[in-house]
Amino acid sequence: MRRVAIVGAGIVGTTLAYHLVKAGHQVDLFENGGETPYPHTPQFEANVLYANHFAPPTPVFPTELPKDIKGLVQSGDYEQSFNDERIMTVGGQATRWFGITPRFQRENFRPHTLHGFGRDWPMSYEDLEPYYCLAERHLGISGTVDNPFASPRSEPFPLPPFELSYTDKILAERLGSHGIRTHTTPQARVRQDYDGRPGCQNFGACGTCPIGARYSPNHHIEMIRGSGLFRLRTNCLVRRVIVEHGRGRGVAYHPDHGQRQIEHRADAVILAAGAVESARLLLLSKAGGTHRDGIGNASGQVGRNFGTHHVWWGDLTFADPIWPGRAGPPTLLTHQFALPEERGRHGGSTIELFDGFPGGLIDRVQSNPYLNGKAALDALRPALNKRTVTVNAEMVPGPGKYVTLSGERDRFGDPFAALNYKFDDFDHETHARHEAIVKRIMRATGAIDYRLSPIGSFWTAHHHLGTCRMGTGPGDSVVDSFGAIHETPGVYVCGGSTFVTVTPMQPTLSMVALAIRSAARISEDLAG
Amino acid sequence: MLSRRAANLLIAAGVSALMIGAAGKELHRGPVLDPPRTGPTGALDDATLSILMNSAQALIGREALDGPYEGYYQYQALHRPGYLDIYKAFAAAVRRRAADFAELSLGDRLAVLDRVSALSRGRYDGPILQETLGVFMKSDAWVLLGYNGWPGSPRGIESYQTPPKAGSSA
Repeated sequence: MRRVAIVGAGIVGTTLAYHLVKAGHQVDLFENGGETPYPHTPQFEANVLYANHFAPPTPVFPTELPKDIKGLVQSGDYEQSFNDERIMTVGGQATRWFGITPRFQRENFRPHTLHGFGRDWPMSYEDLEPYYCLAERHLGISGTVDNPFASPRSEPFPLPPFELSYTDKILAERLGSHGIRTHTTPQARVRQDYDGRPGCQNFGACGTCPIGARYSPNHHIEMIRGSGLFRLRTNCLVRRVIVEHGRGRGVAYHPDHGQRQIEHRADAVILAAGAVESARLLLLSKAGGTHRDGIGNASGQVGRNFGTHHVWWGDLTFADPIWPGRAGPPTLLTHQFALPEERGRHGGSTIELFDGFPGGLIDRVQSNPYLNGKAALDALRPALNKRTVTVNAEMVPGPGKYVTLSGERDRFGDPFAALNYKFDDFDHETHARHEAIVKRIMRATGAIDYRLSPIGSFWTAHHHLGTCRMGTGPGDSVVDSFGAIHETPGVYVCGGSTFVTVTPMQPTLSMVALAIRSAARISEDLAG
Repeated sequence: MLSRRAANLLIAAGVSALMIGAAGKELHRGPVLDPPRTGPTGALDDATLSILMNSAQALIGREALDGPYEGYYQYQALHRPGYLDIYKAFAAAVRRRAADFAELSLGDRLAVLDRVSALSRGRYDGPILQETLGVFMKSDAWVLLGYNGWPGSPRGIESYQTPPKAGSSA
């Protein structure tokens, strides 16, 4: 039995912890935030069922961390707060997500070779395919093989799909008659009871599923909590990775964010703290020799190549009611625009006709005073004719997108991370192209109007990627395809931070597949 | 998708069934004030809860409500400072105007609420009347508009594949 320290209890950290515990290792999982209730019934009550439009959620889930513990200096074009998007709690961002889980397409691993932009991954779809199968079982993915744009798979989905809604089918037929192929959405929302999780009951609030039908990492935390091989250390700020004689030997952390620092010894250290904090921790962990600029940073790669999805929200307006919000949000989807012919000059995308709970619209109309039920009902009626469209666009890492250390410091005197995010021509071209695509979708569906948010009003979907890019050597990357830091044995980085590019696909399933693959390799490394 | 004619019929039928806006009265409404921020929290007593529920029926214009109004009031009282006090004060004000409030017709109850609202200078308009309409807009309103259930309730995973209400057509 070997000791493993994992930093970050999000979906990647918990996946690693689960598989390493199952392999017989002692795992200490460090989380800067605290625990959050699971199943997420209290969160559902506070944020959905009994949400008060006129006052902030109470109680707040997860508990907010002090500003001198969780900080980030931001510059560039993103209008929202990267810092607020970092959900520091056990389960992390995957305590509230929609659970959309496509695989990457085979071509996504070779953008440079096939389309002349970005950089190829140091692995192929075929390398990852068996781990996609394991990840789909791990998360309990509901889906079917109706996507003509998906790459081959060696196993069926573990669970049957969420069928298209009544309106989806009508829209799909109209789109199909105009040459746009649509399909169902693979998702980590169980269609029926699975692995101790109850089947979906269609609350329509997948982002805060009250019963655990939509996957949360807390599910697997509970499965190993009493194993005797697992310790969950919450409210612990890890400040440094300890490297001795060129090898990772543990972490230095502050329990309860207090002044006392403890050195925790381990045979392997895995950073799974997200693209910002994993890079920051490597940069802070300076030592002599090849580590004088931080671990894994001999050629200055740590913090570069930050990326995120550009999610542009829009909606279609129909002359007649279209009845949005009848199913859990993810239903109708198309990957037809993921690999456009001109890919390289601009990016591809996943386009969702999101059948979401129209909470935003309700919130907006709630802001006005209504005299009685009839007036309130009249105000809602226009919502019946709306259907949300989201464009999940890829981008390409560039010199204006990076993480470094800032001049602002936390309570222990360590610099917070600084994140700069500037659009480039690729991004502008991508947005312009999708404006035209959404307009085409409007015409095909028979909608009478459409709206797509301007380029600057994008949302990252909290997909913070890159900064510790995987590659074949230290000259242009930080880790190998298993997450092992070049030239520093015993230290690994796992998760979206190792992504080479931001593909048109939602990243979470790939992050989990990579984590399972890394867990197997780390277990082998520890045995050796 | 429903044809426009079918949709209009459906909505008209739903609204008729509502008997919304009983007696055609409208509440006196000033600007919506900020929600309360300070005060004790705790469980609501039955009498206060009864006044709130009977007020909700009057405001919405419907005796039968399926939305989570009771849970909403209890949740605010238990978790948000200030709500317990304002709910109790509101209930007391209503009782002063009409000791038999629950026995009144929807229209008469609405008249009482109108008077209470005016006398309180809008104190209850935001945290009680407006928020009650907010609960309505997230629950019963969707059913009245033609949905099989409202988002936030367990609607099952079959009905969304059928037309919104039996008999409607694309």
